[in-house]
Amino acid sequence: MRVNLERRTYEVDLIGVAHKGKAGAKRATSGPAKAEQRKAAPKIPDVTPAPAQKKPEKKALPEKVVPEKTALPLTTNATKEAPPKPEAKKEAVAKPQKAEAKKAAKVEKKQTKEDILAAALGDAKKTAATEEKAPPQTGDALADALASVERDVSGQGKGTAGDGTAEDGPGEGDSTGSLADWYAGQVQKAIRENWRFPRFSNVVLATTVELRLSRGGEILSSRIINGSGRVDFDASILRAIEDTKILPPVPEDVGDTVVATFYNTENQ
Amino acid sequence: MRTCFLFLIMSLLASNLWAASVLNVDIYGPGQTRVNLFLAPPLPREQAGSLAIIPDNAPEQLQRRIQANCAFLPFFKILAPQDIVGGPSSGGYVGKNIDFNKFRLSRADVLVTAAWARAGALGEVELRAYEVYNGRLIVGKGYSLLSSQQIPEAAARFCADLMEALTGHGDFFRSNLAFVKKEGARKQIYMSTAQGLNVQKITNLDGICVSPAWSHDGQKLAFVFLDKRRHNLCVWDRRTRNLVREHLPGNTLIAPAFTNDGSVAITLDIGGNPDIYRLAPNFRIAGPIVQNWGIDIGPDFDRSGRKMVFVSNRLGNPHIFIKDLASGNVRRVSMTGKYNTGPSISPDGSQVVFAQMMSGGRHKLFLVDLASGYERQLTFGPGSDEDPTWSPDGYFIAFSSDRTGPNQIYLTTKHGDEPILIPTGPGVSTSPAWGKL
Repeated sequence: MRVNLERRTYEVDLIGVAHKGKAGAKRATSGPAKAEQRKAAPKIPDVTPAPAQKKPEKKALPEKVVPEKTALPLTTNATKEAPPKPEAKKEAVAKPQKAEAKKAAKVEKKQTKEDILAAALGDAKKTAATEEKAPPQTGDALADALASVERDVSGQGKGTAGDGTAEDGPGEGDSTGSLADWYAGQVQKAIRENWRFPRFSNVVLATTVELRLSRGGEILSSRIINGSGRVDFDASILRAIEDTKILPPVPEDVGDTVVATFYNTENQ
Repeated sequence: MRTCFLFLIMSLLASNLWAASVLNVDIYGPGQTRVNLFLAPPLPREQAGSLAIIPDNAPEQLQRRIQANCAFLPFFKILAPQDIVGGPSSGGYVGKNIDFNKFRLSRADVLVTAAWARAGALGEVELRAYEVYNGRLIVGKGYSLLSSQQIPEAAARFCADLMEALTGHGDFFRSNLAFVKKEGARKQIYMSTAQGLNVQKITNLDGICVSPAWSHDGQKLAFVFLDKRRHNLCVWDRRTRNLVREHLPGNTLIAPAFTNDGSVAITLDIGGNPDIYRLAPNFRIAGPIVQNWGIDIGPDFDRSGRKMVFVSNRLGNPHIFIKDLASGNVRRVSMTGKYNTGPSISPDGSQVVFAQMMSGGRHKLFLVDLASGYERQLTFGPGSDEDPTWSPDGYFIAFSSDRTGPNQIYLTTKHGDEPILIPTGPGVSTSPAWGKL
């Protein structure tokens, strides 16, 4: 009965061009980069970094305002090691930056939340929170600045490791990653357009169909591997496939067999 | 040993390769949630016969009624005759005689045929619905009509059967709505079918009737009647057409509802502030269901009678709560907004719909799934939408709205489909209540 509101964990669709841009945004990371990032953050799961990264940064700002003079040489040293982008942010004025960091943190939280298991997010919040609470104010401005910079650096290390996040998609082979997923998206879009079925069932219906394609994308044959038990649901799917007739040409490293599973519910 | 090992490696490699060549795709939900329905022009049952001998233009009338019925169902899109490649005629009314190809080409999903024969005072009609893709008969029924008065009934029955064959629920066309209509300074209770047919006036009382509610078997209707002196609880019996009027202690009576065993729950202020009480069959107070320092009103029960939703301001602002009557546990249902009222729980007890006040004082309907807590807005647009009520099949929701002027009853679904008007006659209609039959 409850059905279409069940959260499902599934691989992220990386369709088309990799996202540019903001630190912590989802990216199709290349193999070696991923491995390196994984080394940098052995303990903490990949998911944590995005919120964690922003929080230490946020925390660092107010502290920096005070011991600015003494801290400066130290910060510049530290930032040499850290990736250039977050450093650029730090050097700007404190207040608007804080607001931006807060906003970015919120945006990231939203993005990452959708892809990560709830448990991981809970862990992330915990670690971020503990990191925030962590700094013992020794009263020594220099020591505090040092400590905060240390946190920043380690935070960033985790930060960049975060970008691959939860999706390890179809195996770890990143070569099958984007292109096959992109084609899967195209197949999905093309058939869905021709698929008509009413929304009234409280039961989840699922049918698996095997399609054979020519290299040019023509649907040569289709057969039902696993029916849903409902004649009209299966018929609507076969009809949608027939009406679609032709899909985009199949990319080189993608096979000519597609196994499509049709569900009658939206994935919410 | 070594060869075994090698063989293992080879088969692993081979299976890896094979697996890599299959692309897996998941498709969640069709691109369109409306299927294309076409009503073929009616045919005479005998090959050599003619439709002209059927009096009162009955075939045409029935055609129009079926079309109007299907227009209420948000999962049909009715195709026009000009949409059909090669002309609208079906070539026959039974599967083997029908040319399904042209309907396939025209993207029709369901084809309905009607075959008439003259009999008695009017005639007999056979209605069939086919699945165009494989020519499968979905539902086929025959009706004997004595007069053209029976045409709407036949259309409603066929559509109920068609809907039942497709969805498992045919109740929509078999159900009734009660609602309140304003007549000058008075307000009376009316009843009609869920499509707004057969509008009947039930009460003719000198005062104001409000808050109708059906019993679970659809046989009794409870409402509050305010005359010049006091508040009264009225219960109308559909079979006997008898109206019982009761005085209850206290100053206010608000919004009765039936539990699954036929007893009435209602808000009384005998304890000093409005609480929800259960009444015995003789209308004596059997005991409190919800008692709290705050104001508790507007109960609604699910089919099992185990769950009750109501409005309470115990946390400050009016919010929707649900009480599990077995365990006594009360928890909050509406999490957003500052003013939530008019809850209705679906018959299976899984969803709750209510009205939330938005900025500007207008209300919009919201839906909560109890299992997940997922809350979303269901209706949008101008005007104020209030008093939602669930259909017995848990799919449709009727509500009152002033989106196009004076309040009228509208119909939407749990998916938030575009609301359509249920015509209930001129004037203001509010407070819809949905019964079973």
